[in-house]
This record gives sequence, C-alpha cells and structure tokens, in this order.
Amino acid sequence: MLEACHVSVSYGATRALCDVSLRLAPGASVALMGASGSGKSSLLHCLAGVILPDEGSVVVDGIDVTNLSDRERSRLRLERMGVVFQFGDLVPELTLIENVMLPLQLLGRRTREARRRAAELLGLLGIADLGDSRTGAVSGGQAQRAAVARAMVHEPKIVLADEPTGALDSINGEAVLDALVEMTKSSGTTLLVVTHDNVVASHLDTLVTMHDGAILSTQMDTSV
Amino acid sequence: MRAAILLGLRLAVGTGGQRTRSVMMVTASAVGSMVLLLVWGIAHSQVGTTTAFPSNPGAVTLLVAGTIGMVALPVLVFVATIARLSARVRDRRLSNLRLLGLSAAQTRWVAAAEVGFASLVGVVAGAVAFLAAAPLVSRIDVPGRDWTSSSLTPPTSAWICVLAVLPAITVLTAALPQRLSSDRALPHVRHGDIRSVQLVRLVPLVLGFALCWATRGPLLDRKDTLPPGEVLAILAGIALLAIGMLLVIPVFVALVATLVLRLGRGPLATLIGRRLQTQPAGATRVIAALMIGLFIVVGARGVLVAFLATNQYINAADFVERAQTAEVTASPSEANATASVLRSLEGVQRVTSFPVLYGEPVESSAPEENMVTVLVASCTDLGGEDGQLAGCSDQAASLVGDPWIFDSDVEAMRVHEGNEYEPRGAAVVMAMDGATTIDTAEFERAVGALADTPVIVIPPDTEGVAGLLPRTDRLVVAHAGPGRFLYDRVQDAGLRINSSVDLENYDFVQGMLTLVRTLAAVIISIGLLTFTIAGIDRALTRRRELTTLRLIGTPGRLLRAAQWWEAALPTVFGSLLAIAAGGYAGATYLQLDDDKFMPLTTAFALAVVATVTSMLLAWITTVGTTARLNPEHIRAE
Amino acid sequence: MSTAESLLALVEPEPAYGYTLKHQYDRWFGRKRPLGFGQVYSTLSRLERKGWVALSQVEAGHGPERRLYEITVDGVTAIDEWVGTPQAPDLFATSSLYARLTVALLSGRDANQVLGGQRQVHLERMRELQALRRKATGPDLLAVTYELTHLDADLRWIEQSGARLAVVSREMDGEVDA
Repeated sequence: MLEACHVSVSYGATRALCDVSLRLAPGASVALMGASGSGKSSLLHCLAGVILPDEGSVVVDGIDVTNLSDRERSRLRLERMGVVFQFGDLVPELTLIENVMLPLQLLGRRTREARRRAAELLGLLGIADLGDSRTGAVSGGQAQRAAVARAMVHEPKIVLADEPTGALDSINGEAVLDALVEMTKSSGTTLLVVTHDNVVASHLDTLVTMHDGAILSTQMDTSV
Repeated sequence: MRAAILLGLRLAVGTGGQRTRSVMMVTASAVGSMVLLLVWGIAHSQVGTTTAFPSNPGAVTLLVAGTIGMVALPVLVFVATIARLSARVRDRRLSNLRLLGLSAAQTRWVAAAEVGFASLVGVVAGAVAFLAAAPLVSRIDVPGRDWTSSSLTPPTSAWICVLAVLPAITVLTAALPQRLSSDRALPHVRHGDIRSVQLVRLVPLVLGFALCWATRGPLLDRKDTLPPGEVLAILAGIALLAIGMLLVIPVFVALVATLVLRLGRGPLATLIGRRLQTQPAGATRVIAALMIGLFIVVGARGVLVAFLATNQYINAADFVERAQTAEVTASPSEANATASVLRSLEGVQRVTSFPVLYGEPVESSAPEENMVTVLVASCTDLGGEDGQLAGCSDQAASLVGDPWIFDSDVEAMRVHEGNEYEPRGAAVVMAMDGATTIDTAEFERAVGALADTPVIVIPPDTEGVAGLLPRTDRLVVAHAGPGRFLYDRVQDAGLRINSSVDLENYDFVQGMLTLVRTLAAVIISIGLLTFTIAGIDRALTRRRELTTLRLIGTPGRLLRAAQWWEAALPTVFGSLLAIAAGGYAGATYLQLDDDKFMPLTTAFALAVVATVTSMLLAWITTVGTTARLNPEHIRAE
Repeated sequence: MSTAESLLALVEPEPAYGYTLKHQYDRWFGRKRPLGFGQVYSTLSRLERKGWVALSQVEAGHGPERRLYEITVDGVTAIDEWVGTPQAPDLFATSSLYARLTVALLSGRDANQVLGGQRQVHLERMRELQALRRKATGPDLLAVTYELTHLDADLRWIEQSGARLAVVSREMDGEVDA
C-alpha cells in the first residue's frame, strides 16, 4: 500500500534518513516515534511525496512516486492521501465546513454533495453545529477535529498525521485520536502517525521507532 | 516608557523577517523624503519663483502648495503602507504583549519605536541622498528648459516637513490603529474574522459628486472672479471625491465577495469570495497610492488645459517651438532698408513685406466697427518657397479664415489707406464675389503676423489698388526658426517691434508641464511600488495556509488564480473609479463639460490601459504563491 | 519486593558482612528508607534457605554480625533472571525498575536491555488499556486512565534514562571507585 524502499535523504551535510525501508499494509495503523532529529518527519515527508529522496524509492498504491513531477505527486496526494498536521492550518478565511469540503471540490465533486459529506463528517466528529464558524471563533480542539475531517472527507486510502494532537490538551487530544483511529479502522484506511508521545503511540497497533535517521525497532501488536 | 522603546528597537532587528521589514521601512522613508524634497525643490524653483503673474502671487503659492500636496499624498500613503506591512503578524504580537501585562500606552510606544527609528534613519538618508543628487538633477538637459541657473534647493518649510512630519506620520500609522485593550486581545490573537462594512462609507463620495455637480457653471474664464465661497465648495467637492473613492473600495469588495459566494461554484469561488470578505479594507490599503496617483494625473490635466488653451500661450509656444516672427511697420520709403536690415540679422531665414490697407463692407453703417485689414499680395508672394498658398486666388479677394464681418453676405468692400481709426485717402470698391478662403494657420505661417485680426487678401493687380499703395505702410515681418533670440536682435538693430510675445507666460506653463509630467511619473511609480510591495507581503504572510493547501493536493494554478482574482478585482475597480473621479474633479475645476475635458475615446483608452495594467500588477502578486512545496514551511513558526 | 534481589546483587561482587551490606544498600537503594538491621538478617536467612547465598565463614564471636555471606551460582542466575525480566506492569506493585537498572549499571549487565524490555512491555499494556478505555465507563474509566497516565510517566523516565545512560554509568563508576 505505502512503501519506502531504501530511502536516504540529506539536507546539505546533514543526513536525515539513512537507507530506511518501511512497508505499510492496507489498513495498518502505525505510530512512528523518535526524538527530534531522528528523521521521522523526513520519512513522513518522503512518504507523502512532499520531498523526493536522494536515494531509494517510495511506492504509493502501486505507483512509484519518485518518478512523478511535482504536479503529479500533488494530484496523487489529493486522490489517495489525507494529511493532518500539528497546527491544522485550516484556511482562516473559510468556514469550517468550507475547509472540509475543499478536497472533494478539488476532485471535482459537486458542491451540494461535497457539502453533505462534509457535514456528515463534522457530525461524526462532534462539531456539526460549528460548520459555519471560522477558525478564529472555535477552540483548538475543534479546529483540529475539522482538520481530521478534511483529511478523511474524500475517503483516502492513506492518512498521514504529524503530531496531530501536539497542540491540544489531553482530553481533546484523546478525542481527536479516538476519532482518527476509529474512522480509519472502520474504512480500512492505512494510518501513519508521527509522534513523540507514548500515549498517542499506544492508540495504534504498530510502533516503529527511529533514531538518527534509521529505524531502530518495529513492534507489532500481536493480539491484533 | 524607556523599556518599551528599547523593546521596540529590539523588535525592529530581531528576526530575519523583522530586519527585512525595517530595511524596507528605511528604504521607503529614504525614497519618500528624497522624492518630496526633489519635487518641492523643482516646484519652488520652476514655478514658485515665476514672475508671470505679478498681480496674483497668492494663486501661485496655492498652485505650488497644490502640487506639493499632490506628491506628498501618495508618498505618505506609500510610507504608511510599508509601516503597516505584515500588519496581521505584528498586531498579533502586540496583542500578545498586552496579554503579558503591558499597558496599552506601553504597547503603543513599542510599536512606535519599532517603526519610528527606521523611519527617522530613512528620512535622514533620503535628505542626504537628495543633497547629493540635486546638483546632478539640475544638470539634466530638458529641451527648452533652462535648469542650470536655478538651484533646486527647497525652502526651509520643506526640510521641516520632511524631517519631522514624515517620520511622525509613519509612527502614528504604526502605533495607532491597534485594538489594544486586553479584553479584545484574546480574540484578536486568532485571525480570520470578518469585519462588517458600513454603508456610511459611501457618503463622502456621493457628497463630493453632489458638490461638484452643483458648482458647475458655463464655460467662462471665471477663476479670478469666483466668489471665495464657491471656490471653497469646488475644492471641498474635489477633496471629498478623492477621499470618497478610497472609502468606497471596501464596500465594493464586500459586494463582489457576496456575489461571488452566492453565484460561484467550486473551490476557486469559495476561496476568492471568502478572502475578499475578510478584511475588505485591506484591499484599499494596497491600492490607495495608485488610486490617488491616477486621480491626480487625470485631474491635473484640468490645471494644464486652462493654461494651454490661452492665446498667449498658444502664440508663445508657436513662437518658441515652430517659428519666430517679429513685425515691424515701415513707411514706403523705409520698407526696403528695413527689410535688408532684418535680412542681415543672424538667424533670420526670410523677410516678408506687404502693403497693408483697410477696408469695410460698403453697406456697413458703422465703418469703424467693421474694419478689416487688407493685405495686398499675390499668391506666390504669400506662398514663398512653397509656391502658391492654398486657397489663395489671384483673381479675387481671399478671406483668411472666417472673419465675422462676412457672416452676412457682403457684396462689396471699400478699400483705402489709413489705419483702423481713421480711414483716409481715396477708396477703391471691389466686389466680393468669387472670394476664396485661406486657412488661418497657413496664412499665419506664411505671413507671420496679423493673428487674431480679420484679414482679407487682395491681388496687387486689383483695379485701383495700385494707386493706393505708394503712401501706405508696409508690414515687414522677419521669420526665423524656433528659438527666443529674434526680438532681442531686432531691437538691437534699432527697429521697433509691433508684435509681442509673452515668453514669461510660456516659461511658466512649460515649468508647469514639466512639473506635472514629473509628478505623474513619480506618483504613479510610487503607487505601483506600494501596490507590488503590499501585495507580495500579503502573499508571504499567507505562506502557512498556502503550504497546507498544497499539502492536501491543491493544484498550484488554483492558488495562483485565487490570488490573481483577489488582487485584480479591487485594483481594476479602484483604478477605473480613480480615473472617473479624477476626470470629474478636473472638469469641475475647469468648469467644463465632461466631454470637452476628456473626450470619450481618450477616456475609454485610459480605462483600457488601466484595466490591463491592473491585471498585470495582480499577476505580479502571484509570484510568491507557488514556489515549490518546501518542507521547512510545514513546521514554520 | 526487590529488597531481597538488591541485597543479593550487593553480595555478588565479593562476600560481605551483613553490616556492610546494610550500608551499601542504603547508599544505592534506600536513600529515603534505610534498611533496618533486622530486615537485613532475615532477608539474608531467606536467601540462604533458597540456596542463593551461602555462609562462607563464621567468625567466632557474639551475634550475627560475624557472618560472612557469599553468593552461589544459583544466586548469580537468579540475579540474571531478575534483572533481565521486565516486570509485569502492575499498577500497585512497587516498581522494581529503578532497582533493576541500578543493579545492571553496577554489575555491568546490559542496562539498555533493561530499559528497552520494560518499555516494550509497558507499551503493550498501554495498548490493551486503550482498548479497554474505549468501552469503559464510570469508575472503570477512571481506573484505566489512571493506569495509563502512570505508565506514561514510567515511559518518560525510561526514555530520559536511556538518553542519560552513558553519563550516569560513568558517574556511578566514579562513586564505586571512591
């Protein structure tokens, strides 16, 4: 489903990733942990097609993204992936529901259908009545939930999250993670969460630990 | 207070972004002060010291003040815009300071210090740059202008204005508009709220339009006879138009936003509509300088047209630019000698000499009032080197232009010697049938005299005319190429000149022309610069959201299109409005009908150019929008 | 409780009297709660019964102070197992993690493995707890989240210690030599 094969990335003289290989099966739920500088964000960016590795390849849903142009990777991201980042970064001028609708509209769906589906997701996440508010008028937790909704509204095969609850208190963080895990599990979406928080990692089935640009260990939950 | 100032100074050079802004502030202040000093100096030396209007020195002062004001306004707007760059980010930071416990006054000091120091440095730098550049500018050779004798030193008031007022205004702009109460600081920390636009903003524009419309009068040169109350009303109307057009922009933007959101489908419409809806006044800030520039440039034509249309100027311009002519009247015995003296003068290209008679219609009851000058010449004489003069007839009389005397059919003229006050001597009657018409301009070019007088030309072999000739005066005209030397040389040769040319008026108007053209270039440039800088800055402060949008897969061209529409819509509207308002103001000032002031084709052409340029400018602001997706930006700030 | 194992570990390097052992224990393990002599001797007796220590010498004299204890092969094995086995993450049992790590550092055993092993076990338990939490209500929910939070605290300490191991180890060597 999503695979990095012998990927190496350097920023100038710094080696961020060193011959890293990782394979995510469809429907897998993976936590990527490591200290700052361990390379976990770089690995995430490679998997998302944001940066091209200096060596190695990244395969998304059978397609080798390392050969695609920037525009094609962008399109692939739109079609197959959803992303949630630490600060959500919703467009502040748009309402929450307009933010959530965006991926569907970009994919060419009709506005009415997009709005309906977006409202459905906002409902699942418990913020249905905030659809017409702007980010400035809602709390951080609510905005982050909208970001999660945006990541899932177009039914992507893969959801990538980078410290999605980093800016939230524990209760809100727990709620957002629960929503993320539940929604991806029920739809069979692969979920990869980059985090340094043990509690966050414990929400997911598999734990991959990184250190100094390489994968240190992979721990699968055998009961699953 | 001291701590607050120090904090402000520290903030001015803190991070890379802040340093860049401070550098831009210094540059903007330097450019602004230099431009102001230069224009003030030019205006003062070229126009302010003119002797063309000895009876009305107040008007000249007003004129100079007006031109300074015309440049000062966009310069101030430009500098103020730079001071408010990245307003969102800096307001947020100041609000955070409030949350930390600083009082409102202290926060204002911080903001003032952050911007004020850079502004002061910039203004001083600009003044120094001006002092260095002034001697260079005065050496620029503009044809027809004599710069070298004038030094471009602006008066003391200019220095005070630039060194004190300019930084003061920047500081005020930076320090004032914040919502600095702590209870409002919290919601201000998050962004993206809509400001509602009040319709009361339409009032000044409507008022200004009404005032201008009410004070319009018939086409008369009434400037020195207008009652001061009416002058004030006109000026107030013009000022209200200028202010009003700026205030109206957010209303328009809000309206368009609502329309786009209601009618549009798809993410592009949503993005554009919502962005326009949020902070509609921000659009004004970006294009204000440009709009003022257009308003002034279009309106200032009014000032110029008044002067360019006077006969004195037209004649003087023709004299200096096309051909100099000097008229000398000589008695029949002196005519040849006079002509050869004139011919011998350096620069004189040819000398024409024609006998001059007078005539009036035979049926006229009041001969003194209906007198025309009669020139006796053959068509080849008139034509000179060019052969025959077009429209001239050797068989009958030729009318020059359309003298009013002939409005009712005149069958015959009585021609005699003498002057216009005393017909004397024998008279010859000649029939007027078959009279042809000579074009006025061609006649003046050929003869170089008798402008603004009703003239007819009769062939020398007209019956009876030969007898009148021996005693009548000759009109001797020296023709030279363009220049200003002729009168001096003729007078130095001891001859008395009958004609006159108002060179001082000419110089004054030329000075005005130069000034206005400089102004136009300067003002529009400042407007464009303000627009571009503010536009790019706005794109940069959006980088985080743009990065996220790219991350979720939004195609770059959609983001570019959104940015373009968001920039283009207010700019096109604003520039068209500015041109219309400026045109209306200028026409009002001149008390002219609109289509005399600016014919429809010119207005249309101007509108098209403005629209195309606005679209181009909007495109420039999309430059920052779609750089490669950079992972550094994903975790920025 | 890990008192017995800790004492046993202190006998490992060389035979020692009960008196010496009590002081060493206090120094490495009992900073806030010094061990009573009575507990020392009763623990040693227990260890002797288990066959983990043996009396190497009995000096003639009065009282138990004169007994020299030494570790047996079984005893060494017992320590190996104790240090190397991650403790079941039971909430209300006093944690032996700190003790095991100290012993590993003192005795040259693999401290990283102590930390890593415990981390793995903790994380597995946390996953189980998350699954429980999603269905729990009322006091059960409180209990589950309580345990989760404490496990998280342990894990944080494990990470910090892992990062500090080299330095701490050197410092301890210094103290041992002193």
